Amino acid sequence: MTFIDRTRFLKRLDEGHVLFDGGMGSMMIANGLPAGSPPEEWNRSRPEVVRRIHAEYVLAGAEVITTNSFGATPSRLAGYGLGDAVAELNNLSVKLARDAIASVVGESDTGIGDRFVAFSVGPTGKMLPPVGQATESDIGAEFSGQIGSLDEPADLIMLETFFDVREALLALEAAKRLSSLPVGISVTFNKTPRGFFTVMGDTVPDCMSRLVDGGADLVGANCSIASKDMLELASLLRESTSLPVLCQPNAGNPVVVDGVPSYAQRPEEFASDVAAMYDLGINAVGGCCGTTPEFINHASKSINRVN
Amino acid sequence: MDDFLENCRDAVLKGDRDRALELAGRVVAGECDALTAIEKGFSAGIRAAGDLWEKGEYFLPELAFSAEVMKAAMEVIRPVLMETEQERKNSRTAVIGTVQGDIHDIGKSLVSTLLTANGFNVIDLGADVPHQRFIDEVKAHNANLVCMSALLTTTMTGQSLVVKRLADEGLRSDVRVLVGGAPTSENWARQIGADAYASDAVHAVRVAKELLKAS
Repeated sequence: MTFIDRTRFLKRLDEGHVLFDGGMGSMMIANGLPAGSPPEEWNRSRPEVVRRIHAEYVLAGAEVITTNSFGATPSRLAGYGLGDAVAELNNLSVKLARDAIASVVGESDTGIGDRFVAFSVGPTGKMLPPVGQATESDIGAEFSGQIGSLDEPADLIMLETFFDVREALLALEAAKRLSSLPVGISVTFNKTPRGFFTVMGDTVPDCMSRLVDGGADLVGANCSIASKDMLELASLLRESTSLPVLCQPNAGNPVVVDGVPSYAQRPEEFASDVAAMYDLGINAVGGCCGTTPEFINHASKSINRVN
Repeated sequence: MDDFLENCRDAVLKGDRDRALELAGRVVAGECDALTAIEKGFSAGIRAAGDLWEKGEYFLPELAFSAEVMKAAMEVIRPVLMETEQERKNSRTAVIGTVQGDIHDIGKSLVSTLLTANGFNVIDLGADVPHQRFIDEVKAHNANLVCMSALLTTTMTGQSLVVKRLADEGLRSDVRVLVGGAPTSENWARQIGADAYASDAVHAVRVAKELLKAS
């Protein structure tokens, strides 16, 4: 097994201006993922497509490649009859990301040059009261099942798109308990007439301080809002914590052209907002839904200008 | 009388279950006409909670409490209501779910709860619902409304498949189709042949009522 220097990513984060990759789901649709299929199943059945998307992001300049494992919790996979494939699909996700990076950067001590693999974990889809009936132990078991299945060497665990900070803390607890990797966690905020809140009504400072107390190494926000609003949110995030901060906006709102969902924002606009986030002291940026290697490539160029 | 209705509204708005149940008991005892209590009292509370949601003053937990209290009050009042002609005339059955491949449950559950609170008979199929199941449940419950949520660009095309399948099975003219979820839009609803799009849960209830009024 490849030796992983667990401090390598944290050291890089200290230097700032880290660039994550962009959207995965929208790229998979563009490559023919049928409606209603679990994206993680392609780790097994279409590995060449997953690898190619990762490689496109590496070529575009992304330093951190996020694995195709966002929804690979035991209960979600079981819903597709893939309950026995939790370990297989999660480990394959890391292997495909590493292979894709290696195919671009070539032989190196780390196996992946100066790039990093972030193991993606999303919400379980189960809701705590009063909105749902799930218990904390139900939800904790999902995260333990997914994170505990990981043998392949990743550089960090990226818990993303959490809208209930209580669920985020359960994911964080499982990640810290089952792994010694650095843990990043990002929360989804909505913009209301009264400012930014999670859909549960938690404020930015409250979320951030709870995640910091929970032992996160990197905190931030992703999804739901596009780069203009994310830029506004970025300064709030920066004021809320001294930890490294990650921002991953969407590519504007989706529009439908000829029956196919696509995103309206231009990569240039995304890149200029992203550069402005770095100016605010945000340590790492990337893209969420709808962003493509083209967005990341423009961001990469604008960061080089900042540097 | 107005105080009584205002009290009903406030109990739902504040999520005060005990007070709402006590008031519902008084409705059953004949202190207030059941339909008036629901429409001008309890439902007004739900609408007020929806308004606060839109202003960013209420969030999901507050809405969930208000909706639960409304449901509990409706349970108490329902036997009285069933005796009225109005209830039969207003019979509205909705099949609702988040489409296959999508586990986003919040928006859908909220619509489900608010529809129930507004007197709909709601068959909530949950999240990640196979396309055919919408069809099967429409048949099983003789539903006149199908509500589908999709939060992902990867799954929104499932809404289109369900609309097609309803047509294939000759059911399309019997049901109204309402779609929602972050990536969807009016334009999307039109393109896939749905009847309407709703931008949030409060809007969904308003649109659902209009759709069924028109049918």
